[in-house]
Amino acid sequence: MNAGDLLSRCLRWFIVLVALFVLVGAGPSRSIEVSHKLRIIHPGDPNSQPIPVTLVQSLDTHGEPSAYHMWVDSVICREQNCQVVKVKLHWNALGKYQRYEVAKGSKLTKLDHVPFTDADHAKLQSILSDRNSPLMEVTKEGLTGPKSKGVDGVSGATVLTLKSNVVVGAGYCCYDLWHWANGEVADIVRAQSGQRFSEAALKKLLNSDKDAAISFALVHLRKRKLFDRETAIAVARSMRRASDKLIDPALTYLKAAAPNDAAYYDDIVIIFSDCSEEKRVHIITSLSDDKRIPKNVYDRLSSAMPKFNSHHELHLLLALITSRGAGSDEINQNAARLLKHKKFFVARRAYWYLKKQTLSPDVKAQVDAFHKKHRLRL
Amino acid sequence: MRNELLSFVVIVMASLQVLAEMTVTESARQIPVAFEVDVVVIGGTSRGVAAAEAAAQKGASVFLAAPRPYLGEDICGTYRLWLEAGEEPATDLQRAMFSHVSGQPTPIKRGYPFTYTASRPFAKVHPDSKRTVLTDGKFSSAAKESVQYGGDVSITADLGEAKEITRASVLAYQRKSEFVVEKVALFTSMDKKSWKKVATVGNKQIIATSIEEYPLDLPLTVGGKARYLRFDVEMADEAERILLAEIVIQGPEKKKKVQTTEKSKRRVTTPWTVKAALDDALLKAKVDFLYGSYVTDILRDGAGQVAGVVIANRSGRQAVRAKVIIDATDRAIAARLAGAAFVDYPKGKQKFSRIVMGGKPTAGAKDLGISYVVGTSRKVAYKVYEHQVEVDMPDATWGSFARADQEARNKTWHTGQAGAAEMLYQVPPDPVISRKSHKGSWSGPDAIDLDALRPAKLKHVYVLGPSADVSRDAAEKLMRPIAGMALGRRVGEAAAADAAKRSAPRQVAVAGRVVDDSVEANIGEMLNGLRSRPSLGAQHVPSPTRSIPVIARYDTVVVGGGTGGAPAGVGAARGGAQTLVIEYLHGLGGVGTLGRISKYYHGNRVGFTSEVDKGVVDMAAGEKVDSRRGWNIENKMEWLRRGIVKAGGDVWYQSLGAGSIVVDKTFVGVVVATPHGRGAVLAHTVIDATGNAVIPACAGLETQEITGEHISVQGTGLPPYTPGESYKNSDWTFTDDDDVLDMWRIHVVGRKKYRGAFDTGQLIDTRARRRIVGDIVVSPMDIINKRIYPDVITVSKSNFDNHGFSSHELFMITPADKAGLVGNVPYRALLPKGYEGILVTGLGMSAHGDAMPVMRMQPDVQNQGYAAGKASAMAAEEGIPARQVDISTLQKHLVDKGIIPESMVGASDSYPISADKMYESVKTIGKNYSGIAQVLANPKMGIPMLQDAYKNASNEDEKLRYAHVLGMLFDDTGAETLIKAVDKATWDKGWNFRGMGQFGATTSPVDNLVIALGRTGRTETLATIIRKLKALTPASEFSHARAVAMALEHLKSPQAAAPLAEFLKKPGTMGHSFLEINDVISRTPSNINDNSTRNNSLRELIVARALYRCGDHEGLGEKILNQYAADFRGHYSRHAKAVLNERR
Repeated sequence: MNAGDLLSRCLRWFIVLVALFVLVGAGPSRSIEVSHKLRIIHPGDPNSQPIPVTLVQSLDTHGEPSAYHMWVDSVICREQNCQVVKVKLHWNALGKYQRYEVAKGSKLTKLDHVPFTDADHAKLQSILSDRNSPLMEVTKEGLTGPKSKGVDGVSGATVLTLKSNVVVGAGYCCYDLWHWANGEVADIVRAQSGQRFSEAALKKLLNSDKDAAISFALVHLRKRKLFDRETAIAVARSMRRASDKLIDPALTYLKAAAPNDAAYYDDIVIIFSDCSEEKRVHIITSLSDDKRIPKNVYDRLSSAMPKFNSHHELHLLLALITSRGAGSDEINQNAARLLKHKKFFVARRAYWYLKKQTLSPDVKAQVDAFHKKHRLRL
Repeated sequence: MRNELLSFVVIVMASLQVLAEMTVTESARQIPVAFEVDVVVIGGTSRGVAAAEAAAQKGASVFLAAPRPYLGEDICGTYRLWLEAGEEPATDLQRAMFSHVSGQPTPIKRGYPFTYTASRPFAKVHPDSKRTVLTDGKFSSAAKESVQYGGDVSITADLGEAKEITRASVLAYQRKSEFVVEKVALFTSMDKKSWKKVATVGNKQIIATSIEEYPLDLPLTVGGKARYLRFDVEMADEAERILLAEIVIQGPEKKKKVQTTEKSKRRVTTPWTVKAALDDALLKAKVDFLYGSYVTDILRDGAGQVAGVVIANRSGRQAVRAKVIIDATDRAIAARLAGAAFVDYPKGKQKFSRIVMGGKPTAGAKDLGISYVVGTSRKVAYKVYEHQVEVDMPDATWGSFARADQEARNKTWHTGQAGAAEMLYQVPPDPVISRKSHKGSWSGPDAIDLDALRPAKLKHVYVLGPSADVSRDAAEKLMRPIAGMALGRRVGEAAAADAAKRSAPRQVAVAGRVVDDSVEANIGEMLNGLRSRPSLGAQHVPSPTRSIPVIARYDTVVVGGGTGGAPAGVGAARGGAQTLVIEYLHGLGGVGTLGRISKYYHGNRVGFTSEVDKGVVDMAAGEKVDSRRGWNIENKMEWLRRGIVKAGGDVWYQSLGAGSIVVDKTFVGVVVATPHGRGAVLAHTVIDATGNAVIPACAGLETQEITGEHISVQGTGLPPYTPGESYKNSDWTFTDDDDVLDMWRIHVVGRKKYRGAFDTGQLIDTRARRRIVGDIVVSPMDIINKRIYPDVITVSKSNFDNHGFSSHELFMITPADKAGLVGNVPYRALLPKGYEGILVTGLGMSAHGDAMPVMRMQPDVQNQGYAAGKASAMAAEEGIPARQVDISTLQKHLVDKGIIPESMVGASDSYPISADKMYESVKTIGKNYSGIAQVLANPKMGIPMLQDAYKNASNEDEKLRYAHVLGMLFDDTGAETLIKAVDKATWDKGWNFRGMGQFGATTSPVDNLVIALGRTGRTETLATIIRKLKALTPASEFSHARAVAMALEHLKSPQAAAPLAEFLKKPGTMGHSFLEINDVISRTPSNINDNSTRNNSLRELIVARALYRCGDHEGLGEKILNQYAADFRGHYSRHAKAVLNERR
């Protein structure tokens, strides 16, 4: 997220960002902390007014962001009977929540001011660490649950009734802290780090074995327009390690980084020739919106066909080739190799494609032989 | 020929060219008669309704079969919700359809801004601390947009300065006996000291049970100037509080500029307005009608003349004997089936039109210059666009039209779309050949000679629509509602006159014959008739042995494109299977899309589900997505459709699975009812994703459904439908998905319930339906015991949120709580016992009803559906039955997909429970019941151990726990202990049926002991149980009445009959059956989560059941059961009939 994006996002969400850098400590060999004064709408109560908070960024000895923290209230006091304490939330440099601390002399409490037990703290930590917690999808109204008297017509299935997702008796506290830990602040942390990381540090993240690091690098390399060929090749190579879900951001980066279409298609072909089925499916899907693909790219893509092991990827590639009228002898040759595939549906799909093509005599002979052998199943 | 078909399908030996001429032989059978009328109208178009109404007004008996779950598909299904300039409504019905305010609350306009004070404090549950609730313009929810006062209240408004006042309104919510406003008096003042009473208004809807979605408007007409207005709001006597929504103070209206553009002359209506008006017209005219019914066959009399039709719907097929057929469909399907001659459909490019609303349309869309305005308090206007799509049509088969529909959707869907037409619009290029063609262009409906609507050489049939023998220009005009309805009235009157001249057809039979080379198979279907017609129940028309066409062949056919079906389609198509998904509605995704439950509750959001979720978010293309408000329904429907189509699959909307095709205990296809009639679709594997095990039931397989055993089903909802809006969950009734009458009832009532909505939903959100009996039946104990199977294909997550009450004794020993549970789903639970060629996924899978809540969550059903689809593709690829697919290969794919953890591959079954484990579990029963799930998993092993433990119990509490469990297992060892305990106990806090959001015990501790006591079967328990019965009052909770009834009906003692009858005669206990539609409408509250009617009905029905089983008293039990046998709610009817049949 670049500064412009961040600003517009902040405006959109009524977040007024006032960055005030306060250096704590000095000197190149010591870590330093930078405070960012923010005005932010409480993420657990989207209809409230912005409130002032301070996000503290820690920089390592090289000046690279290493961690963040922020003090927040433990809970929005929605009922008169509640005890608010200060809680310090910690994130890593990539915006992932790490841990929390309660202000000295304070205690988190549950219903009727019963203090949190160790087990409650462990549970809260586990709740806050779960980015995909159902709390994400529950409105604050949904927390209350249906009551037989007093509250009318509340829809029960929206209600958070999962004991496992809250500390019982401290539902609002869990809800508010989860949204602090995993809401807009985490986005702001990522934006801050993205701006602060050096180019070398960002590129180094591509070598990580963690998806989160590669994903972060892909986003911020693109935002900072670090588009040299060396980096682009590193991105393409990172796709051998990265999980399938990172193929889309990688393609987005490569598209932006390529000096011309040909370079982009070269990168695509490199990835396509040595990746998982799922990544190939994503690549083909991304190409389906691209009407400018030169015909020879289809030929090059088809050279990966013999490695195909599923009907799905073959079907998508052949459907794309068909819709673009991009058939060729080379594609026919590559498709013909699949007629002997151990999976019948792969072979059948290749057959159905080839049946509609103008074929060379040797490919035609293979197709005829396939038909003869399998005519009862076609 | 039988084995030939099996070979044909199993090894997929036929080519598509052969298919074109192929037929399957249907054996001779008897079709139950549902209606015997003068005139049958086919199609729910506005012109069809007008014809039906006119015929009825002329004295004819009329039945109308509507294909969609509403009337008016020519307007609402095509989304052509407007009248063109010059089209003026001329009849009451037309005016009601296009009044837009017909039946809706008066639109509330924002008035003057003002501040206000109240004479009493607000209640904290509905607070108003900033004093803005009554002026914020938000008033669409009693729960969220209201302020509550504990009694009469005076609201004083200050306009800031004296202003001219013309009208003021107090908007209030209402729930009978809880919050009801009696009347409002309005006073005005210039100085806040001297007040002048200017108006009062009483609550004219004070008898309404519930007005909570949209507030009641209490309007006050005012004249003159004032600065201060005081509203004295008086609470009704029986109420406990009042809930105010808004106060509006208005001055004189500014005159609007008269718009004169051509486009602005279009008068726009809403689907709700059209549908409700058409419903009302037929109800008023006493025309019988059904939704969701397709014409499939023609009846002929002994002379070969047309004598009615056969229709197919969710209740199977029924015959409608009629003297005259009015075919009001666009393509004149009934006339085609009857053999009328038509012009050939021209092969090649054909143009279709499709309407979309909202967002930025794709290229080529025409802005129609109108908007559809949705919402009640917060209105959103969506611009309306028309696409002209050219499609290559090889022929006029249903498959070709279905492909055209897919192509049109491919070309016209766009991000931000809020809604779209359900069906394509085309002036048919192939009209009927009539007795006298009408030449020339349109010059009004009266100028049409009705002979142009009468097919040549075919008596007793009218083609009322654009397939009539008129110029195509005139045909287009005929598709307009005003003109079509005018002609419809003429046709209706003519048909009534024709019918009066014709004597009742005799020797009526279904038309048809066997053609050469037709292949034999067992075609199974529902032929139980329409239960609302008991007088005709014994009547049938014969259907001879005949051939039905094979209309398609696939590797996999998925019946039902809902939560599980659409993913099954994706899984099968991606797996390489030639795949067809058939879906009755116009979109995929089921309850999560058209059912509007567009947000997950529990569920394991992994694997395919996470792919769907990401895909749906990505489709938003930059639009803000707030997952807390639910996903975008349009996007999800489209993602699923594209998922199938991109992988090479086909989707047929508007198509209903209506029968099974079985050869030698192998399913080889299904019978499908489409708008074009009925045909066979052959497949290597059938996936039943109806959620109701329709296809296995058609084949007569053993299934689990409501019988006389219990009446425990999960609550059902039907939401209002607001394009562009997402989540709306409801639970206000029960619906039997096999009962077209029950479904008709919920749609009719739903339309009344949601007055003012833009539209009502089409998908009924049933949570519990019929299930198969599979190779394995998952039990609630399996879930609590965390059972692992060797063939796990999904790992479900939820709790026992059963939207009702449980029937399994497990929960009468240890109630379920809210704790999250894991339910492993074995592949074998998708395989109906003893049959090949079929998988059943989703709500129809093999499990006990009380286990289903843990396995029915949308994320899990999506993953399960995908797995079923993949398995079907593997079966087809290998040419083997689905039962024989290699489980570890399937599991490895599911691991790659992220659906199951790797640990499940090759896992061993964690059952059976060893004797040692059982012994340990039995020991826990005396302390806290904690091992009960193990004990109930094998009661045969557990009972002797329980008996020993009872005898050796160290104290009375332990003894009672063992006695309780033994009693529940019908063992009388602990009867004395139970008698003592029940005698000692007084009734505790029981449980009432609410449905939505209910968790935990559905029986109280005393209920549980009473049930266990009855189950001991000992006659000496009777006096104790009767004493408990006599202690009940009408105000006692439902669970107490149920417990006593369950106990007594097990004893079956005539001594219990009189006390049970005495209980039923207590005030408010009887008379809760739903027998007449207008009565049903008036008694169904507007609350989307009704808490009252079901509770009362259940209590009455269950106590009457016990009375009947105890020998009855003065016929009261039988009388009540007979009433419920005729109840609109299918489950109640099914249950009552089953109980009555015990003695018959």
